[in-house]
Amino acid sequence: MRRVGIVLLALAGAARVLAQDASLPYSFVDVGRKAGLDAITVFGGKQTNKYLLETTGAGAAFFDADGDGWLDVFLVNGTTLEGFPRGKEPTNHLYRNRHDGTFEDLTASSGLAASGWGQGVCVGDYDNDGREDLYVTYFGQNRLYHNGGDGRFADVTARAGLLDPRKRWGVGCAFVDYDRDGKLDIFAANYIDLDLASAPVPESGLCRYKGIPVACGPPGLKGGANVLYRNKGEGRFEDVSAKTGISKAKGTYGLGVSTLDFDDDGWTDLYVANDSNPSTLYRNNHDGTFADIAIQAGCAFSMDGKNQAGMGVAVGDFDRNGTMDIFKTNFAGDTSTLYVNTGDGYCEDHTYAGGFGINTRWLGWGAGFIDLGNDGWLDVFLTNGHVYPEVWQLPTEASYKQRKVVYRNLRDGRFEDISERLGVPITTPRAGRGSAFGDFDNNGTTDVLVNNVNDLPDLFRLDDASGNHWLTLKLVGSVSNRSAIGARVRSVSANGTQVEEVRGGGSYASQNDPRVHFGLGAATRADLQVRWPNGLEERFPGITADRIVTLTEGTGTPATPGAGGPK
Amino acid sequence: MRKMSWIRRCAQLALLLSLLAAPPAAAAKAQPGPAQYHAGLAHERDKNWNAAAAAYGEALRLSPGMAEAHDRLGFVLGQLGRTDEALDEFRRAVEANPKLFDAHYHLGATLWWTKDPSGAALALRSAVALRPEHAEARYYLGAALRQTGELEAAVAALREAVRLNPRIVVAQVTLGIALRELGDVAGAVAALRRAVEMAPEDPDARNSLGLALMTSGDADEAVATFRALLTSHPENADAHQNLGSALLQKGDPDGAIAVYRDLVALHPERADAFYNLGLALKQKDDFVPAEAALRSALALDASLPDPPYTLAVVLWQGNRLEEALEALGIALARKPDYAEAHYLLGTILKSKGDVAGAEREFRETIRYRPEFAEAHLSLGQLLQRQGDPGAGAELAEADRLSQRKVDRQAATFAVDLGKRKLAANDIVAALSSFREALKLAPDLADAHYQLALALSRQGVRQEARQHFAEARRLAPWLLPPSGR
Repeated sequence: MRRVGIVLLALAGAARVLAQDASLPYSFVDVGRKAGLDAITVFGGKQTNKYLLETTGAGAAFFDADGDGWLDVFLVNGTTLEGFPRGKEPTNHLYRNRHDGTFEDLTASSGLAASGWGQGVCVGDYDNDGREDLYVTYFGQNRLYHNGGDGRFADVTARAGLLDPRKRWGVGCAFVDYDRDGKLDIFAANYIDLDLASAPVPESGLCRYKGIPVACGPPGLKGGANVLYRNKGEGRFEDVSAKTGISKAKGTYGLGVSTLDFDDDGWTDLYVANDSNPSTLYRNNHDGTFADIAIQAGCAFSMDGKNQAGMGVAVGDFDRNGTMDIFKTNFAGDTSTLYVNTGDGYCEDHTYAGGFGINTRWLGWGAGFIDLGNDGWLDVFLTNGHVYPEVWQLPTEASYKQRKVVYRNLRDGRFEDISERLGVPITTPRAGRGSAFGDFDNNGTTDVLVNNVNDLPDLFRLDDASGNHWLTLKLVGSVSNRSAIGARVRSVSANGTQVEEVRGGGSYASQNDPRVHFGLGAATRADLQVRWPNGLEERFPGITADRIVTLTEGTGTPATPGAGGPK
Repeated sequence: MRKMSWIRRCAQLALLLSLLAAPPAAAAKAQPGPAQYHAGLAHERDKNWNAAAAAYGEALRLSPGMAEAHDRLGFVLGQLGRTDEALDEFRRAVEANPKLFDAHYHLGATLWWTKDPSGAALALRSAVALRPEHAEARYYLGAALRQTGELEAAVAALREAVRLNPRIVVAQVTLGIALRELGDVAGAVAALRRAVEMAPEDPDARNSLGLALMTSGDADEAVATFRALLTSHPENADAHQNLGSALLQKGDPDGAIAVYRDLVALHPERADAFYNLGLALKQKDDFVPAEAALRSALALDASLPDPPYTLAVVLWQGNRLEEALEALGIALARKPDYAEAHYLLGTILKSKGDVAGAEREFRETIRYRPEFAEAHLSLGQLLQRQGDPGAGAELAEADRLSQRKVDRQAATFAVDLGKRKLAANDIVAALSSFREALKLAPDLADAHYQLALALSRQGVRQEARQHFAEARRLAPWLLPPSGR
């Protein structure tokens, strides 16, 4: 009876918010089914979970698998504790973009039909052959897939030297060229050193959420240590976690990962959202090592110094001061966190000043800074869903399936929650997890792909009637890594100056569109300056708006490093 | 933020008087005395308090050292509401005859009633020494010791009171409360269930049982207990408060809000009701009515520090910093040693760029609560940014305190795992888990206890005894199986 009550409440909520606010020039349309994203993501028990393993869900990626200039979709899949008969296991899915708003499921022929406790995904061209490769994290052995360019991916994990003798729980990951040798390395966050044989179970009575027995952890369980694999060339990697300082991070229970150049020194840093622990900001020391500076920089804790249950991470210059700010999603009962990058090595927590103090009910996972109306100011998209399916027993807890939250940038450092104004599908509850942000229909707006637990995925097409202009840039490294991960682009237009990066990873266990997107407002052209990952700075002046442009390293006009370059 | 639970204390004036009213006839038998004393007893029996007081006064004029007359006069003065004079008479009675049980007992019980638990405990220890079989004296001693924080001694006194006279419901209830405070939640629930069986209509028993059930994590039965109490006592404010808390614990803020709204309608004068309503609304991110409720609580009781503190949190979340600072000023005026308020003040001042003010407040926080890890962390970060060499020590202390908490959680998990191994007869694995737990948290009583149990089953008796002893030292209710 109680569950019937919950259903009625949910319906009532949906009915209340059906209409979208016509005063907003943009809206989202859920086109997932129509587009053909029709495989359910299986992840643990639907009603109850025995282990935390069943709760973390899975990531999503927008990437151009076949090099045709259109984003394809990759969705990580999981399994259940009971498992499946041979041949019936759920698998990851690759969907090819047909360029008409629909996708074709190429999983079977792609070589990507792996099963298991899949977690996260990241994308990068590790062998610089011009084709984007995939790294997929697991509870178990993470897998590196080489893109053969013929529609097939090969599992090269063993050949690449990436087999791990230990059973780890990888979640977020990112390709990153940390040593600027032009070859992408791989970073993966490990959540918990989980041993299912010894981990406490809900029946122990030890782990309760508001009185309900739930899956235990992460507190009380041993945290995982993050890993960094250096690309030695020839398709081989070596574990450099210890000697680079990666394994010395203060916090553990790593989940979401993103690359960023926090201190704008041209060397790529890494941010990891840790669950129930201080988050990690790996500063690149330029000598092949990292130092975790999150605590001293002020982006490890909440404003009042408390550990938060960090999940996903978004990076972007929302205040347009030329530095990369960080947005982190957290557990229910807490707010998301907005760290403003001051530009002098510190973060300032602007969560409340930014207007995010009003929402504590949602449990956030994927997140992205996206420019909803192409006005040049980054807004925030947040995917939610409770960890515990058992919360259906709590009459008025924000339920297991939760709506998204969208914040509009008010251009003065503050944001406004416009979720209700956007209406469906933003207000439609789902058990969301990984989310990827990218322009799948190449129309100049950033769409959203969400991997939901035990449900079909969402594909939210962003329709923008603002008339504002835009530019999307595909960066191609020649000396630098070909994916140009770590490149920083400065756009100067009549709409002002904007800075953006090419990043590995992002959101929660996901990979965003690697292309750089600028909303230009009324401006119709922009002068661009790129700082490539290896340090070369080039100008690309007078780029006209409303198109996708490829910028190749070495083809621009050389610029003096630092002189008017990306700030 | 602390939740205010206005738990009704067990004693009530009527009960106190009924327990204290030793039959005057019995006193008369013990000490015949002059005629005026006997006349006083007669007036007392007729509840003619003024006449009784006059008669005892006359008796004392004639026999100044008559301890019994001082004692009875004190009792009568107490009936007349002249508490200070009553206490003086009890003290004179004790001085005149240190072996007079009634004088110690009355002095102790009256001191307890006047909220002097330390003085009460002293007098009641003497009373219990004179008449160890006196259940009521044991009860008052237990109640007083509980209030002075001597929980183990309180539990012992209350257990004895209950043994001597199982019909004293209030002793059973207080025993349950003391056990809960001591950490023996299962014992508390058992004691309070007995109290409810003895007096099903007693609101204190049911309220206390519900609170113990909440502590044990059984929010469902707690809710049922409070609802049952409200059925029989619809206006019981404590039951409303506690029901609201239980509903919040169950993740039902809407239910809690409804209960608190009922309560503020019934008792619009109760600051605690508005405060809890504000908390529940805040939990729902319903900030406007939450602020209104908290402002009502703040205005209704000028002594409570929590309403202005929580109001400051709400205002801070809404980035209304100046108003938040004003509310914190009120909270700190009401409770200058309010560590959380100092900390929040420091945090807000830091966000406003007032580095000196923030540093001062973080240091104040640590002064009042040295184990406040976040304050050490924030102070360390602040000092680090200023290049102050003291930063390292603060950050290290924050780290140490945080690690201790993490280790304790891991140890608790290890104990749980060990219990499961022990239940499966895998003693070697169980021992390994318990030892791991003790490595992480050497003062975890349950780890010692479980290790002792496992060692006993392995026949390692001497080490088992050591761990049983350590477990009992850390948690006195953990007795070896034979001693339970």
